[in-house]
Amino acid sequence: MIITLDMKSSVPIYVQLRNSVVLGIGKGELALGQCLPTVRQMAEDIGINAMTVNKAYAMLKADGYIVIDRRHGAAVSTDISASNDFRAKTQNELELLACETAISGISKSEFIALCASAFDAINIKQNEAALI
Amino acid sequence: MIIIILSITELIVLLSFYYNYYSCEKPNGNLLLGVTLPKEQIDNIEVSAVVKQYHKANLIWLLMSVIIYLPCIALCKYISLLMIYYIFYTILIYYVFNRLYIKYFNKLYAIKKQNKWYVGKTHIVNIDTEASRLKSTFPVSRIWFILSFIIAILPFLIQPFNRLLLVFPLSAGFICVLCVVLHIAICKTGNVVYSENSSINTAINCVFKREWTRCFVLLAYINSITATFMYLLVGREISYLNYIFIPIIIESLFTLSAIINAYLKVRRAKQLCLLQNEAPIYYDDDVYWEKGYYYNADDTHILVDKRVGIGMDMNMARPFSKILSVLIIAVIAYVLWLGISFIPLDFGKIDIIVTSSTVTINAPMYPYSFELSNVESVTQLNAFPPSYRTNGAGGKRFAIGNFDVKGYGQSKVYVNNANKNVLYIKLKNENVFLNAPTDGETEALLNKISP
Repeated sequence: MIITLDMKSSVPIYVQLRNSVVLGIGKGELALGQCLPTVRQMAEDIGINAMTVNKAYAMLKADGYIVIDRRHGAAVSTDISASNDFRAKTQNELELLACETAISGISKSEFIALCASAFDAINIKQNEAALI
Repeated sequence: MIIIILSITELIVLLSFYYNYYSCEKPNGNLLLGVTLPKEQIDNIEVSAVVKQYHKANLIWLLMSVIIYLPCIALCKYISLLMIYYIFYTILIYYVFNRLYIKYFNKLYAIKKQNKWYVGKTHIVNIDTEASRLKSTFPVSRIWFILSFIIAILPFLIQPFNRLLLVFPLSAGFICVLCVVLHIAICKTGNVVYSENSSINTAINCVFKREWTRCFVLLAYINSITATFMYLLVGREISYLNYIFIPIIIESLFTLSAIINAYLKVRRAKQLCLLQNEAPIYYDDDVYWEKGYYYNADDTHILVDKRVGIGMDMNMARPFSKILSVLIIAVIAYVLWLGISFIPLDFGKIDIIVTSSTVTINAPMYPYSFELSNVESVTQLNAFPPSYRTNGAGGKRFAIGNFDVKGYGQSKVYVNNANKNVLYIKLKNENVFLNAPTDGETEALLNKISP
């Protein structure tokens, strides 16, 4: 998977990194169980402090997207399930997004169509190597 | 002899500089004169005109460099002046080649900005998670350096310790450490993402890291083996020191071959992989190269791919690069200072004053005096015995300072080379060799100093 980070963006690097990994899992660019680079390798490649990558990985781990093994490093979790907290968080974020969309003049049907289109693009893949 | 070696070296340096800067006239992917351009604009008339102007300016400077070199031939009688001129000359040719490049880079960059020929986004960093994950498997292991260190200290194990020849294992050890540092720097260099295809990114980055780290391991071995060979050779017979330039030239050729081999292998692999690249990723980070070198404060990498010529460039925004640059400048300043301090050797003279109780030798760089009461014997020799300079200066006109003289050991030497007759003065705790410019004056000294 290719992760693209904008060094001049107002969005912090660790948030960009976290979002890229989530998008990667959703679009099937990162298969479930697929190994990720270690914090050090990732930090060296991006050319940033290891703490920044660590922060992104910690967020991904806390949200259940990745698992971190002391011996094998980080990998995409094979069992990502939504907790009640996640559902509540999603509802809050959707409320905000719906309000912003409605204020911007976008109709309900258009908003639902956009959501459906984004959801249809999701293609979560199993890592064959991880299944063996 | 020295002028021939110097001229050949300078010719190689000059042609390397020229070729280095000439190479950026040819498109390297999207790069032309170090500027990233859209593929369709590479043959643009405006762009071609700038490249032609640059080519002409480069060629003119190459010819001028040859002419500016000619005074070196006239200065070959005066080592100090030759040294000073040579250093200034080398700095000048590098500076002008570089200034020409920066001038035409900025010219082309201005055209690019004016026409908004941006390739991809700026300030973007791409990471290939697969290439990044496998990164640690790309380089050759650092364990290979252990044997090169052992070879460097081998002389101590098989030959008696010789303080005078310590410079060989020390320099070999230093080069090994330098190679280890460069190996680490290459390992830490970030992977470059060329394509949406991870296999292509992994292959190119793997070849790059494998070949360059192997090259540094090889350089450590070449240097250690040469230094050990020289140590053993000179340790056996000190006069072989006069032929030391032969292994040094051979070593330099091997070193150059190893570097060119690594460069060509990486380039070939990159070209082969990029031919199959159906989803290329382009960057536009020209903004970091505006100063003529790479300067990106947001990038923690010290080494980055060179835009002009062979090898790597330093990220001058990093403190390490700044410190290294200061060190390089300090070394050049030191060599320059050496050249200036050698001036008395070319234009000074050895003045020997004998009073009733002391002998005072006023010589460039190494003045010396001794009491007449310390003199045990004075012998006149027909020729100055073979010797090896330990801490002194041996020019065309004089041999001055501390020398290891064959058959006599450590000695103070103040010899005018024009006169074959030399006085050997045995002091209570020292040996001194001296003479005057003529036989008559040397004879007079003999009479005055003899106990």
